[in-house]
Order: sequence, then structure tokens, then C-alpha cells
Amino acid sequence: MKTLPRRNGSFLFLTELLISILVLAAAAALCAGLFADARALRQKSAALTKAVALAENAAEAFKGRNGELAKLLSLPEGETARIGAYSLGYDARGAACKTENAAYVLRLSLAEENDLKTADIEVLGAAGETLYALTAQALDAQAPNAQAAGEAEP
Amino acid sequence: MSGERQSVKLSGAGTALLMMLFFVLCLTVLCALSLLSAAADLRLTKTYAASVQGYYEADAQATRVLCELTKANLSDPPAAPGGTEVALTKENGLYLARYRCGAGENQALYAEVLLDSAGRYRVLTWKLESTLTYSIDESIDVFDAASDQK
Repeated sequence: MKTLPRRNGSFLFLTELLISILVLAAAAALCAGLFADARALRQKSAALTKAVALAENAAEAFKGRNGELAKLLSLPEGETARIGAYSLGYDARGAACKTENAAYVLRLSLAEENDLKTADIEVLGAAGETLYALTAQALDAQAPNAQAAGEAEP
Repeated sequence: MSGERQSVKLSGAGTALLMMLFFVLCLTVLCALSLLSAAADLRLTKTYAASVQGYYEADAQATRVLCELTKANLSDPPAAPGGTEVALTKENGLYLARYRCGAGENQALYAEVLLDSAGRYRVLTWKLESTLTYSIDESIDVFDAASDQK
């Protein structure tokens, strides 16, 4: 009975191994690219979630009473937010920091017209791109027609 | 002894290929699941962001309507202050204003405000409600402690 020479058997095995490694390397390279895409999507989602939370917090502070917006802007006691633009910086964890090193920059533009106050809130990323924006409006609490607790009784 | 003994020799050929194929399959499945999960997460985040934006747009619209109502002559009210239909009723010298502002596809901000002729106001209701119509399924007899005690 003739058997295959030992040499040819080894050659077959080596060829098979080489092809396996090549296919594996190609598949691994493809999957690495896809994993990188998935990571980018996750980072984008996390950034948007954080931006929405910051914008919502600012909007509620603007609409709130008792100087909520002054607290958010860290204004000196007794001072209220004036018409104009404010910028606040937040790091990746959401803690306040300087705008130069911030991962997120919250930009507030306050305006007022006929007892109606408007806040244009914009959250920017580290590269300056707009992640999220919304507009909030509130009635001026200091206006003569402001709500007086208990005065408008049914 | 006659005849040749034939033995089946198990060859190692193909084992490496099989193992590699299995590994590539696992890697591909893991990769696909990771990408799909991340994409679904981003889609959900964008939906949430849009709903928050919708709420604040409705809130701003409702605030503008309230601002116009506080300045208007309520005995002869405007038809649609701030572009929104307002139902105004008078009770005991005060005016109750009810109106809705759309907040996205399936929700609206519903507001009830009590106003006096001097333009002062008190907000009674300021909430989101669904605009979807649905019918309650009452085909199954569900336990209700209140009706059971009767």
C-alpha cells in the first residue's frame, strides 16, 4: 500500500494553516473597523445624552424661581441674570469647569420683550460643534401682571 | 495472514480550518451585535432629545399664550391669542382659560389658568397629555377590589 510521502502531508497542513491565518486576519481587520464604528456611535450617544441633560437643567433653572438661574450661573448673592450671553463649561463627568478645558460648553442667550423672557440654550462639544439646542420662555416674575400667590382665588 | 489490513487514520487536515471558521463566526456575530446595539442606543437617544425639544417648544408657545391673555381684555378676548384656540369661561368674577399646545406627534401640553381682570394669573394645570386615541380592552374580567367589596 502506498502512502503519501510525509513531506506532502506537511505541505498540505502548512498551506491550510496559512490560508486560515490569512482569512482570520482579514476577518479580524474587518471586525476591528466595525468595532471602531460601534464605539464612535456609543460616544455620540453618550455626548447627546449629556447635552440634553445639561440643556434641560438650564431650561428648568431659567423657568424656576428664587434665583435658580443665578445659582446655575454662580452669580454673587443678590445678583440676577441680565440680558446677554453666558457660557458655562462642564467636564466629561458633568462637573463645572473652565470653558477652555471643557468637554461641554453651555451657552445661554437671554433676551426680554414685553414681559416675556427668552433663553436660547445651546450645548457645544469640545470641538465647538452644536450637540443640542432648545429655547425656553418664561413670564417676567417682576412684571406688574405677575402671579401673586393666593390673590387670584376662584 | 491474508489480506491487507486497512486502518482508518484520522488525519489532522481540516482541524485548523474548522477552528478558524468557528472563531471567525463568533467574532462576526459579536461585532454585528455590538454595532446594532450601539445604533439602537443612538436612535433612542435622538428620539428622547426630540421629545424634550418638542416639550419646550410647546411650553414656550403656552407661555406666549399666557402672556397675551394677561394683557388682553378678557371681557372681549381675542379669538386665538398666540395662534392657539383658548376656551375661556367666567366664574365668580374670574376667568378660567383652557388651551392645548402640540408637543410632538402624540403629545400636547394642556394648560388651565385662572385669570382676573387685572391680568394676574394662577396656573392650575400645566401638563403633558397623550393625543393618541385608544380603546380600553375590557374583554377579560379583571379583579377589582373596590367592586368586590360592594
